Amino acid sequence: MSRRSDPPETTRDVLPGPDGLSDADLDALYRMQPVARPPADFADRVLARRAADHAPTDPPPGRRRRPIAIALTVAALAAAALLWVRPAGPRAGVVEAERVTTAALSDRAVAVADPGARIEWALTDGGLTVKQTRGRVFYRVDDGPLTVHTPAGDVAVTGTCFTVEVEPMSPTLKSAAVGALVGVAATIAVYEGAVRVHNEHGTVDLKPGERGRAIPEAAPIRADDDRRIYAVAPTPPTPPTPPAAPAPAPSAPGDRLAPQQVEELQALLTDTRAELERVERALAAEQAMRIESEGAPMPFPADLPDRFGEDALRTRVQAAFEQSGVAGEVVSIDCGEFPCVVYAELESDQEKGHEQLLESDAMAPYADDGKNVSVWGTRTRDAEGETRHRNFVGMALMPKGVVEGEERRALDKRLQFRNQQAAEAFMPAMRGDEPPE
Amino acid sequence: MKPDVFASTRMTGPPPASAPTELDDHTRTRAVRGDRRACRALVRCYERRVFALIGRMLRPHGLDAAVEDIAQETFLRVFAHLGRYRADGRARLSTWILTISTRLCIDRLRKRRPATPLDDAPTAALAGGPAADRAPIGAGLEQAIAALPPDWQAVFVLRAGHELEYGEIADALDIPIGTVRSRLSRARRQLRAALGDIARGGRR
Repeated sequence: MSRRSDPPETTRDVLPGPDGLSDADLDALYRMQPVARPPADFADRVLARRAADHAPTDPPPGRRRRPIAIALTVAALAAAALLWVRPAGPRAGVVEAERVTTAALSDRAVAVADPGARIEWALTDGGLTVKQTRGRVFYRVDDGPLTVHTPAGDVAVTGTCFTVEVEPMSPTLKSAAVGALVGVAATIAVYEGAVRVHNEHGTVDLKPGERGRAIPEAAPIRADDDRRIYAVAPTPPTPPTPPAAPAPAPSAPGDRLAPQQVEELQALLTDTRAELERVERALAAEQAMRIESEGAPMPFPADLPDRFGEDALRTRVQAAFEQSGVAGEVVSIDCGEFPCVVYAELESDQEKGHEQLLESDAMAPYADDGKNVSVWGTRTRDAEGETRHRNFVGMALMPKGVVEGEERRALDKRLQFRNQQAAEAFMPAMRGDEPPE
Repeated sequence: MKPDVFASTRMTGPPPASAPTELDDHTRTRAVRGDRRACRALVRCYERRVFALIGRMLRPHGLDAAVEDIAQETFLRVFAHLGRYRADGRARLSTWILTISTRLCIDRLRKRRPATPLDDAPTAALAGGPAADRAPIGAGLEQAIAALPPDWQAVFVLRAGHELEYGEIADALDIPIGTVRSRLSRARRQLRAALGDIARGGRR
């Protein structure tokens, strides 16, 4: 029975002989077989399905479950009480939601209607059709086709997750939008799958991550601002709030707004301010968490000696390679923040290479300075199964005493994060368990 | 030994990449709270391993179409139960996630397949199947794997495909380590015999 320390290079190498395969060869042969790979948007698909499924999560420690369960049950019963379903064909119904309401559209789709939304749906030989007259509804289509008719246009899908919002437009906003009288606008946000929005003026196809907008008087368009679709959202499945339309100023000095228009603009302003505050709070919390985990960048000291600059470091470290005979090279110098970090790749047999570099004459000017040195190694396997060893060193040099105590601990934490970033940049294939494509 | 990730890490300063194959605790905590970006980061971190495992479990049985569905189900369960995961416990998060995938796959296979007589399984399976039109060795290996009982297949896939330790496999499948060893040994023996049959057939 043969044993190999290295994986076989080809299938032919491990063709079983009379005595069969060793365990190592059998395992290696197995690992050589192609594996399934996720689609590029798999994470978004999971999150969309999670939003659609109302996937429950464990409560944080210390919270009781029973009150939540009771509350959910009460909410479900209340929603059911508010759900008016009447027969309108072989398989049909109407949903008028006074609070967030989940409705199964036959066994073909699920709709989650926001308060104020209204839909009528029917399942016929031609598929599932929905008439949405107002409000915002999230759809998950399990078995298409599905067509959502809105006053502003039709939305046709085959299998997807998306939202449709039908909103009335005030005279002021109407004129701002199209310069003409319009009654409604429909906003469509696609989370997964493909959606076609069309009306008598034209058609637009939307992909996951895109947003479209339709009004009765013009062809549907693909909205420019699609970032909010995947923005940090409130608790799923409530989709993110689409951006509010900008409130226009009166078109001429003599124009005066009607009291109702003033109220609408004030309400819009209030909502916008509230949304802005929410985003600012979320941003502040996000920044606080990031600093906690990544540390905060530190500014360069005003009187930093020239030897800590990028050019001097490059010159010195390259000279150190030549003087010490260590095999390797400088691959990058990160001077984006204090201190500069020199990243170098060392040959696989240079285990103490970084020590030799620092002890060389070229690095003598830094002998008494503060240092933070990280060394790491990795093995990667290329597409042919060849194993490649790579060793890296990250050297941060700074004047002794310029950063001490708590600041030094914060600096080391920040350097740890920077080194991790560098390591990931140097190792594009390290996150998976398969060789790079 | 992990094949491609910091297998030989050694440090003289702060660790540059303490756990590049595992999600950091901070992001995991945010994912528990439902932070969408953190949840996305979690999926991105583990999706390739999950797909690889599920594909290895289901494809030999012609269930290619179920791979993504089981993968999605895996992550939905991960999110549902992530609060129960203990980073200071024995299992790495990747092992914990692969455990969920493995159990879903075993459930799926048990629902589908009738019991297969073990003695005849590899030979019978080599007569045809979903992988019959692929390269002989790869197809033969896949068909032989398809003939294994799901529990044996899971042990082999976790060990040979994902290099889990015996103890991790035992925890994942909730079986004693001795059972892991015996199932692995039997699985390899059957696979070896099946591949030997192919080789002998090819040389005739």
